[in-house]
Amino acid sequence: MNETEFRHRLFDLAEDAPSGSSAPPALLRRARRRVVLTIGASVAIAVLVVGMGIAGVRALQAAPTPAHPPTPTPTPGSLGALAYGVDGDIYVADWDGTNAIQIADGVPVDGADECGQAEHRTENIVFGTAWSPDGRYLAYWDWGCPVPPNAWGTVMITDPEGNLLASFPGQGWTISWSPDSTRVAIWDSWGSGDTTIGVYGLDGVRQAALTVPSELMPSGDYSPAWSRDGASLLLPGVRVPLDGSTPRGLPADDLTHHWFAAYSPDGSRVAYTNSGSLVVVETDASDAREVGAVTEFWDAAWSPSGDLVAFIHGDTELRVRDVATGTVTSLVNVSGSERLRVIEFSPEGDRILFSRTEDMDSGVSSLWSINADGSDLRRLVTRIEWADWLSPSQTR
Amino acid sequence: MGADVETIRIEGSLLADLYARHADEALRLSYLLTGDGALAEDLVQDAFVRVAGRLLHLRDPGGFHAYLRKTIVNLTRSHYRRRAVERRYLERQTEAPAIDPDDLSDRERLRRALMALPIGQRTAIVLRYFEDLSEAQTADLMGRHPGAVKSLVSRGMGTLRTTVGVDV
Repeated sequence: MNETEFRHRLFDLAEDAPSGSSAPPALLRRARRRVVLTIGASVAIAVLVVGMGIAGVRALQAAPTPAHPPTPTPTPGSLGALAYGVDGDIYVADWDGTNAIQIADGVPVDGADECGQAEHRTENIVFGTAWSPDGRYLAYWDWGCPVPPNAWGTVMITDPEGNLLASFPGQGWTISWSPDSTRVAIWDSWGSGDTTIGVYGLDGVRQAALTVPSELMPSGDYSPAWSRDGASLLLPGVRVPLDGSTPRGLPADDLTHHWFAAYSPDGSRVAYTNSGSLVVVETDASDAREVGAVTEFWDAAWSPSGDLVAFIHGDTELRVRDVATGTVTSLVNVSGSERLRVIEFSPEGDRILFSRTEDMDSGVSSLWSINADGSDLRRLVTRIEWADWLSPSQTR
Repeated sequence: MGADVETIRIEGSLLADLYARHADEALRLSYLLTGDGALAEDLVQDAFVRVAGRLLHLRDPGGFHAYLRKTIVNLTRSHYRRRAVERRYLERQTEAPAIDPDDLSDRERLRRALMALPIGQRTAIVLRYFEDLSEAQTADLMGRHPGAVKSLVSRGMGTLRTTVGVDV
């Protein structure tokens, strides 16, 4: 048997391998949970409704200000606080990470897929838009055991002090708040068979069950997002009217196809990636401008005024772009082994929230903010998995 | 929007699509390394979960297969290390039934011959002749010196020459 024959024989033998054309649902769930755990650090962020100030630093290594460690003292939460998850617990803190209070107690989300017999544990995780747009409510997942039948976990809706308002089982990832903060949308069922969006009120009662025809379902793992007018739920290339009328596919040039996109607060502009570049464009598709190169994944946020776009360049550099003048300012640089993610502008537009991941394996990050002019760099929380900062634009 | 975007990144990672795209190749590699379909599936699924967990940190997301392949090789090595004592025990307790090699198909004979090789030799051969990697690439993936890979391949092929008549 010569080399060519040997190679053929190896390929022939490999044909005995099992087929893996589709991933078992349990595997995908494990994988997604793993993604959550390791990216958690990458953090989304939370509410900031407070002014900020003071002098700054340019490099992260230079004299960061450690945040106070979370304190168990149960002081009332306030609007504009930062909400974040660490080790299965949920905290609410002031804008600078101080006065953190634990509002939900759990164990670390360990990525285990199966619950043991009669096992009870709580794994709280902030995932996506935790804060309602008006900042009055928090929504997060409990992925602990036992898992409710036909669900992946339990949606928890609380006030900022952690008082439970409603809980109900569901599937999916992002808990999408309606623009008026009165409802949330999740997947009731996703994956094989029927795919249904559930719309729930703050009392936990399901108000609508919207079936998405399989032929319209986009390939990939997406959560429904509310349209800006609150009349529909959106998926990439799909509009699902809330009134129960037939969901419909959207044209190929519809902006929902750019799912990795951020809309300016007034909805007039959108930024998305295209062939490795960050593009800012009017939502009527005019005046496209290339902002800069982005390497792997989308990382950008709009200032509330729509004048600035903050984005991560090459994983390791936080930049801000003046949309009108095109001026790009570098705010923060870290080493190549670390990773930055931009999260959000403060409502006043003067500060930018971002995360820094030093340990890629654990995914645990620290949370930082900096003035948009590069001054007053602060470390807000030393260890964080996920967080959310009240955003002026959570809809499309 | 930042919070949405962060989540969408995960959701948009198209894990199901990634699995569908890479699973067959990964399973074939894993099967050649283990000779056991069920074990190959377990290892590939574990590897997939691990690589998925690092998906957003990969410097080259387009190199998902390479990351997956490396993870499979590492998990296979760990598996055999972990099982070494148990395997030795089991081999002492249950002698494999003697089968006349002439009664086996060529495919089964090759499978048995491959599985009889030490895991290092088997891995080096599979990576070189099935994955078609260079010695340097194989060495990098296995965390060995290229000279060690050459030696592993040479010794493994020497054994296969005897058992299944490979002449490479």
